[in-house]
Amino acid sequence: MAEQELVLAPLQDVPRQLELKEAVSRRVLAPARLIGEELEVAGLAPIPDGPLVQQTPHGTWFFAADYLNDPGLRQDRAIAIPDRELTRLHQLRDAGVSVDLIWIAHELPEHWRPDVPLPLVVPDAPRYRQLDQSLEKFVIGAAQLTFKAARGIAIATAAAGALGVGLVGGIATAGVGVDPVILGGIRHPSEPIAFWVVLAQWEWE
Amino acid sequence: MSRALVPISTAGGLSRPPAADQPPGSGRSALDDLLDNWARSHERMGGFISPLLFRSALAADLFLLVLLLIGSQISSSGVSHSHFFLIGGGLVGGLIGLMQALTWPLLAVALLGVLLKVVGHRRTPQPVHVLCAVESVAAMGAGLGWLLVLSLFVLELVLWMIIIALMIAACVLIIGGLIAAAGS
Repeated sequence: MAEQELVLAPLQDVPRQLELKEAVSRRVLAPARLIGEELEVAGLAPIPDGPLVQQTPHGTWFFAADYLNDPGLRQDRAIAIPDRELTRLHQLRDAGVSVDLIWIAHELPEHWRPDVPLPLVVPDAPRYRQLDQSLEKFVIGAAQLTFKAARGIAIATAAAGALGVGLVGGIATAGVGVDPVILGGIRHPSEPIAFWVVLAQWEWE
Repeated sequence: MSRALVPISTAGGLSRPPAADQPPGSGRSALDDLLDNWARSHERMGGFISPLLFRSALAADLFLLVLLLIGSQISSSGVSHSHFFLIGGGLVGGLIGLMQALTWPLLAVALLGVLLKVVGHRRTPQPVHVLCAVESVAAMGAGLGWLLVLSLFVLELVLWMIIIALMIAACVLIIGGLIAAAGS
């Protein structure tokens, strides 16, 4: 997957910008530094009215939404986060990091277009894919064995009629490596804008 | 390039107002809400059952249910007592009894499987994935067992056809011999 780059429309000439930057430093950056984390500052941008779709300079797409409108949450009734990142987010919270907004951006494949439904944004954990592959091999092996035995019985008894034991073909769900980014936002005291910080970012295995 | 979309509906049960609606810098942090209420370990969320396993297990469930309906109509004791007509009827009856005994536990597995599939094609824990494979293999085993029973019935039928044909042939030969003897 190409290097991620969520494009935020940067804002200049914002009133009380210094005050906002001070809040970002006090509420996010300084507590994070206490546990040795140097968070990446994404910049100052308007708070979107609804979910956003953006195309990156690399041709891939990002779908970004408030965490309560996250497609992964709608699909799974929970927001899936890898153990390592979840632990890190808990550490950040325990260190005192506090944000007003959280937006989650999912990278979408290059061939995706905004007028088609969103693909599965959270693939299964690797161990489930491996388990299903093993079980599929087991079932296919059993089906082949059953088919051979059934054919043997059919031939032995000279039974009339065709005997078909088939399995519905299928292809295991391929995990799409869509890569999420969790952005934390500190709201401007008066304007509908926020200062955005990258809280977590990972690639699905 | 960016554009706003029509807001997507939120997941069921999202009744709390988002932390974003709170005044800046006051109250509960959005990070607290995310971690306390919505975030979950990806590794522990379960996985979608692969299409092959799902379809084969669903087909297995339906097959087992049909097999139960057919199998329950055959009387194993009746077959066992038909020694005269069914050579080795005791063996076939025993096999039918065994298959019927196995069909009921398999029905429970099939119904559980159907229930789990009706509930929704969502991420499920590992035992459900294994259950799908067990259902599929159980259906194949049950199908093979009943095929064996049917084959034995066919063999008996063929055997009786041979016996009847031989008896007819013998009768024809005897009658033919008697006619020939009477003619001479």
